Amino acid sequence: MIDRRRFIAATAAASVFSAARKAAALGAGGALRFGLTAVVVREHKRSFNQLAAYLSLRLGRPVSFVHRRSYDDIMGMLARGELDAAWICGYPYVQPRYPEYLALLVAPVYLGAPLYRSLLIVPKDSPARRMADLRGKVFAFSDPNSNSGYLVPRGAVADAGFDPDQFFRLTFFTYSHAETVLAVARGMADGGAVDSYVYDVMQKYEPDTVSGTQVIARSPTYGFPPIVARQDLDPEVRDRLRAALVGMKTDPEAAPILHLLTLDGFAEVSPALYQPIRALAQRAQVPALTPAKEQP
Amino acid sequence: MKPAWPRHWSLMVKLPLTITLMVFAAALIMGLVVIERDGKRQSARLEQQTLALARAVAAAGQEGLLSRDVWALYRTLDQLVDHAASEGGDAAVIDAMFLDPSGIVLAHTNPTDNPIGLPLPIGDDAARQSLAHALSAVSAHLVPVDIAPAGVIAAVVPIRVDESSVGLLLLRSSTRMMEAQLRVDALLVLAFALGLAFVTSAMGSVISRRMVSPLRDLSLGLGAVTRGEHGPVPLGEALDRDEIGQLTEQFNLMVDELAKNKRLEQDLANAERLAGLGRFAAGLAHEVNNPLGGMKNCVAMLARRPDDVDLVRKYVPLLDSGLNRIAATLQSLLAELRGESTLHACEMGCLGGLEGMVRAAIGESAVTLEWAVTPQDLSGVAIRCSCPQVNQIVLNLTRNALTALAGAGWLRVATRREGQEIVLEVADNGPGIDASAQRQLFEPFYTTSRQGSGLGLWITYNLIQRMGGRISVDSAPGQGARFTVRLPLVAATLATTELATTGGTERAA
Repeated sequence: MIDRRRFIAATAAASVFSAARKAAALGAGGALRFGLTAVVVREHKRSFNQLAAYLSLRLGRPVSFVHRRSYDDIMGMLARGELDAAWICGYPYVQPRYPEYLALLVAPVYLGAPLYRSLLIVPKDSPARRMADLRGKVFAFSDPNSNSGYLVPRGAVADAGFDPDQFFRLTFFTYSHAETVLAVARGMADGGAVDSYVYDVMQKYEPDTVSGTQVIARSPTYGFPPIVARQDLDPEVRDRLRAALVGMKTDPEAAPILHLLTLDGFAEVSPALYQPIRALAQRAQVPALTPAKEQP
Repeated sequence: MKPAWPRHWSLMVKLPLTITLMVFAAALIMGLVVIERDGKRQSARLEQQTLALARAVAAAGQEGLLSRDVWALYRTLDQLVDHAASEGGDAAVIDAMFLDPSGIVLAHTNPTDNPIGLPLPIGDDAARQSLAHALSAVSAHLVPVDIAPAGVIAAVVPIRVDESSVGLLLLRSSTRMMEAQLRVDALLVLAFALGLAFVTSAMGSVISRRMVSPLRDLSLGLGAVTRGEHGPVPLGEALDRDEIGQLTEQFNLMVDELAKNKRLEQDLANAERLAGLGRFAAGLAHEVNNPLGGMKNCVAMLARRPDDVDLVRKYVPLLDSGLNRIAATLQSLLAELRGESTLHACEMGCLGGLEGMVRAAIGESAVTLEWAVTPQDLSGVAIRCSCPQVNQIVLNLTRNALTALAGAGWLRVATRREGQEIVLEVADNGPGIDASAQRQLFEPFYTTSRQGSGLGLWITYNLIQRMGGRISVDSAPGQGARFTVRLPLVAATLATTELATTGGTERAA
């Protein structure tokens, strides 16, 4: 089913590619459309309203945030030119695109570095202490295109010597790290994998849900989900957006927003930061990394 | 009459108690019927709500079921069930679940106890069979079976796409909230019934007080009448013109009438007493007259021969005896006239002087008198009487006998002692008295003769009663009549010498 969804998304992306360029060019003078995914706590709307207002001021044009349930949706919209920029995950970023239509803008700086981890969580009173204990159980993934919520736990299963497709009795996608925490807290899933940043933010804003869970394993650090832009976005706009985001760290006006987002700021990073994710994807035995139709 | 609590409960208690109990029972029964009906209605409403909610949840979950998006299914259950609960409906949802066609849990509101990806953990075979039946169902329905134990309503909504089952929704809600509400209603009804009973008991006691107190007065009045107190009985005015009021009024009239009759009787008795005294006076005159003739002769002889000492010695004691007798007769008459009717013990010796009076009454007629009064038998015994009254009794009875004899026959007057009684008999061989006349003999104004007042025997009867004695008659037509008077003896401590002396047997011819 996931394959099919991905296939449809990729096909759609390919067929509308050239039309999207034109649409983007036409929309250049309008609002800057910014896509959001499960990497942030979407429910935490106030911080994004303030961020939108701040960026609008810095860019001199309105900025609107667009929420979609899955990475696929956002990636498809980026491919079709329906979005100008998006906050995506490292895994979709490292997936090959032909031709490349994304440009890396910045990465959030969290706890002093543009890095985060994947946390393995179980219900509060669960006896499980490691991934091997969850064999034959129900596991909640966030999104099939998530690094911390999908690749990392699958990699952990593979590293423990099991087949990630057979290890769990049943798995499901919540399409949101926050909902993964909820699914585990409610006992719907016996385990789940979440973004450490989202988990920390939730601890601040939804302590009741978080207290229903416990963290039993932490992954090594990976590059923080990056903010990308369409490659054909006006370079000037792209530069101003990057400058505005990077400048927030030193702008006192941006401090309250960063505080709400629980981030230190944004920094320019090298695409090499996300290379470990590509390696992980191979270990985790995820399906083909390349869109079916556009394999070379 | 005495309030014997609690063996006999007054109407004042019974009446309001009965009313109260009836009102309480009626209110209780009506209230319970209303609750019962309401309970059924609420139960039906709860079933409808449960089914409607189940249909809504099933519709919302169809997409998730098709794509096996278990998290979406869970969110659907979670949100709709939460929503239903926050709406404050009666349908307190216990749980809800999506199952696939083989009975595997896809989502459950309580995922901890009902893990997804496994068959629903249900108890016995019966429940499993019910579930199998539910899984094969085509249309939404309620399951009143093992999946839904008492107090639980379970709704099953099969989810079908293109005529094949893709799963089902099972939603169970509790009737506990509804039942709690019904219990509260039942308590309210009970409180209402108790309140109503309290009010009606207060009203009932007021009403019964109004109704029963005249009855109690009547009862007291009747008791007084029974004891012979014919004086005015304090009776409350009749409050209403209802039956009890009429009864009270009639009773008052009756008491008035009785009092009037009593007065009339007393008047008649007085009149007869005076008439009797008149007759007695006539007899007395005769009694006085008897010695007077001899005394006058004595006085005339003494006047002619004042110096004859023998004559003086012979006649002075005779004069003294005659005068004493007249004095005694007059004294008793005065006592009677002064109304000194108090009874005291008297010797029967006072009967001794009557013979002359009876003989005087017989006069020249052909009636033979047998005077069997034997003062010897009677000496030393006493009865409760006054001599004039005993004399009156004997005179009345002999007068009746002489009337009956109509101038010819025999008359017998006899006394004797029988144990602690003095028996006084007056018998004649007249025409006798028939049975029906005997029954009325002692009633006032009953008479067979034209001259009689019809009071003689009645007065005689009353006198005997006052002495604590009794009178009987033994007669039949053609067999003559015998009146027997029995007077009880009293201790003879009050015997007076005066009576003893006057009772001496000096007889005038």
